[in-house]
Amino acid sequence: METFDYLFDVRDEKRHSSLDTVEKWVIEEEGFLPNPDYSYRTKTERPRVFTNYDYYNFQPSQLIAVETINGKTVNLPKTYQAWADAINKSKYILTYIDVNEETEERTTYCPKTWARTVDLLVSVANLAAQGDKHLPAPAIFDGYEGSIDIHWETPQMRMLVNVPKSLSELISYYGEDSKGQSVKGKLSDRDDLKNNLLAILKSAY
Amino acid sequence: MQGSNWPIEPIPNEHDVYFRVHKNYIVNDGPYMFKPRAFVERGDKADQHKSMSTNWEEYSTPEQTQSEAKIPMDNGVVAMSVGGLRSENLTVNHAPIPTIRAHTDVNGLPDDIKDVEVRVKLFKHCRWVINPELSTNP
Repeated sequence: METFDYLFDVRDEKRHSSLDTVEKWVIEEEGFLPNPDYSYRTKTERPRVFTNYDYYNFQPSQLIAVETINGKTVNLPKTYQAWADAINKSKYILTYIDVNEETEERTTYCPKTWARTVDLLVSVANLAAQGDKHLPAPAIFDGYEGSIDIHWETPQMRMLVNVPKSLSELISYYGEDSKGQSVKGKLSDRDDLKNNLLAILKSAY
Repeated sequence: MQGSNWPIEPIPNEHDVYFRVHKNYIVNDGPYMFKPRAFVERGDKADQHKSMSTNWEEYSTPEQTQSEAKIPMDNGVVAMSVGGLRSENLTVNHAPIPTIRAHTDVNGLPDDIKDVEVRVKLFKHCRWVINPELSTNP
């Protein structure tokens, strides 16, 4: 099972990037609650680049780095800057605590769920950038019960992808285009996931 | 007529129902009105049928719908086309409760409201009638 530990481990990735400030995330045993002492810190060593995407078809000058967590960065093609912006904007989820208005139940979000979401989007963007269609950027929101929603809303199509809190649960999607055609399903392993989602997005857009 | 004796009436397709959206879920960013998780089931949890509580425009207004929230000013209200919802194989049934004659159930939801399909379909038929984050309401 994919655990996305690579986003949390320190391995032998190449050092690359001039980003100096990284966010310190503390994952507690239960519920991945943000540490109340959460704070920014300056890391003396440079963040490391994760290299497990389809970057090899791009020159370094064609890529932009997006900082994720624990000083790790991921790369997207420059033509997908809007996707990078959406990922950056979604970082609020990592410290967000939803309080239900009526039940006052509190929901927090696991960094690994967010990392899984980013992993999916970066993979799709890098694959899409090698094709002839430029795909619109999604919006990324906190979802039910610790899940994360990826939402596309354009005049041509609307699609919703739900990344569940549990890494063992499948990612679900539903999309439809302006002609009334629709797709629905669940995505399993990582390769199927990115390829299938890309195919769906391309056909719908 | 008062209490739980409100008659159940047919709702025309041309009418709207109103649904509250808490400010925590409001986005107002380009085409994105609010977060997809804003759709929630409310009301009697003992009910065997999954439903989403709304108010029929015949007996309510956007302002009345907003006022039923715990903190009214923290909520916006969207109108949803009854005919539109029915075209998505959802049912819209007047279900008055003692305190709210306008109360209407949107049924036909899957067992789990987290279902992505139903949320996309609900979005298609929403428009703001009270948007607390905008200076003027549409």
